[in-house]
Amino acid sequence: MSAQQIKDIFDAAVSYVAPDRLDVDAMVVDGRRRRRIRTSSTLAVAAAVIALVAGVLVASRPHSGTVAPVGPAPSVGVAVAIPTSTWKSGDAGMAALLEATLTLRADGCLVAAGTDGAAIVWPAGYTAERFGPSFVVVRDPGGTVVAQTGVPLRLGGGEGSPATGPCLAPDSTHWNVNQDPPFVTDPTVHLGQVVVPTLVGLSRADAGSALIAAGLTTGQVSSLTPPTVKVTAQSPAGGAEVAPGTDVRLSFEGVPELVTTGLRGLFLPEETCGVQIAANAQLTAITGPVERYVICPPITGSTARPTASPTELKPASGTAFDRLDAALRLPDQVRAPGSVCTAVGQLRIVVVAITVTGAWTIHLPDNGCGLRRAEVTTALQSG
Amino acid sequence: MRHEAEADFRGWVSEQRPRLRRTAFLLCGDWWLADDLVQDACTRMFSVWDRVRSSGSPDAYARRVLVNLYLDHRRRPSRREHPVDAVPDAPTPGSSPESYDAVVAALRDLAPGQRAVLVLRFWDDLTLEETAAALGASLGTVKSQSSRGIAALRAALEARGLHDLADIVKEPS
Repeated sequence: MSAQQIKDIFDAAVSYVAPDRLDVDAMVVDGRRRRRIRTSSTLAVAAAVIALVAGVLVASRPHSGTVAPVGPAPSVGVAVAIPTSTWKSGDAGMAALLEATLTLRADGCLVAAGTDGAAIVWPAGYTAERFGPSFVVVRDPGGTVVAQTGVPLRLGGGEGSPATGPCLAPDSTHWNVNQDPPFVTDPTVHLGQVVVPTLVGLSRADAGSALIAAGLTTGQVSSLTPPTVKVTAQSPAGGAEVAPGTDVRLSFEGVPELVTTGLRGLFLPEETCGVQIAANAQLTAITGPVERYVICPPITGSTARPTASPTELKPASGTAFDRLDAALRLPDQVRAPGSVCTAVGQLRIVVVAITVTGAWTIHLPDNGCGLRRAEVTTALQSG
Repeated sequence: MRHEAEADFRGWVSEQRPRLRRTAFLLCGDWWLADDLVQDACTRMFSVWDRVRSSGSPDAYARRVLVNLYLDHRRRPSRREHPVDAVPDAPTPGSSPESYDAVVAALRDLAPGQRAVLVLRFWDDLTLEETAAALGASLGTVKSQSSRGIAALRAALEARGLHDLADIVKEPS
């Protein structure tokens, strides 16, 4: 026997390749963030050692300076388009001052709250990232968070003339930032960190709302438990400061350990497709201690998986997990070439969660494939 | 310089992502989790890219990070898969014995360490010594894991009636 023959078996196992959903931009952004945390943590340790050697008692506030990552890695935020100018550090600029707090308007524009809701034109190279429905951080070209929503800012610069760009109305003025950071003067504010709310005792629905409002996300597991169930434990604890987008894991009263929480691809065609009835029938027939989110993969492209008629996909005998797995197979396999269900316009994303208490099927908007977990969670909360 | 490193990293990801995704899938048996693992592994790679690039062996480093992430994931109490009494993926009657489902299901029966050894040895074409280095384990441990993994995979294939495939899965002579 040769190793090549065994390799051939493994080749067979990967003969079908699911659509690639890797995000290289996110790798770069998150990789830089990890590097910064590691570097600053090293510096913090070095500083502590120096202080000890010198016999100096260093009284430091919690989380002042650097913050070790708490809990799982934060989710990646969603880019927010912000207007930028050509102004950069060292250039001459205007010297007026705008004191403002940023807010994310309903149209997705990041503006100064109150008064006239002026759009802010940031220096060259600045970017913004949204976590949850309304928490936004602004980064300088080096990736450092220099501003965020809800925090009072002092932005040196001046009003500009009408211009075009994201969120700039052609007939209004806007505020050009002609100043290097810091824009925040309150020493108690830790930019790039959010405070985890205390959630124990709240209902799932209230806890989820509080987390999302804070720019955090629920862990994959917890957001689909019945909305009235009370939170019994959380991690990280309330009061901790964490990076926006961090998952906060919640435990609920009476909800057992979960079997699986993996995100799996699932296609269910729209109601007009007869096969969906079969799929729904299988899904709703499933009971047992299983909770699972199911989100469709990108809906373009084809699959090399063998086609099969719904009758071949009847769940085999076995545990509830068997039947669930069989049900999850169905949508991939109904994507046969020529099927009436393959047209993009006829598909909806369906997220299915199955728990001890039943099954929920939530329809997300069309063309929403590729949503990140946080966005799906948001949709589930509102659904 | 920074842009050059980033461009270099992006080029490396573009080149390696198909193989890394397949390796991750063989380890975990779930394309969505596989992409999560590769995404995380590549993120970690970029955070130390300058050092990894200068070492001259980013592929080996990536493999090691990927396998460690997978094993860490399996160790977590909240891991996504729990063992079940019945095998979740029985082959569909009439389907090809070499089918994707059957082999992946058989791999799922293996202990995580055994699966990692077999995937690295036979899919990634590593020697026993290289596999040991990738896993940070001793050569003896890898040899025993490999031997047990082959036996377990053979048994898993037999249990699914895939006798032809089971006959192939033996320690290479």
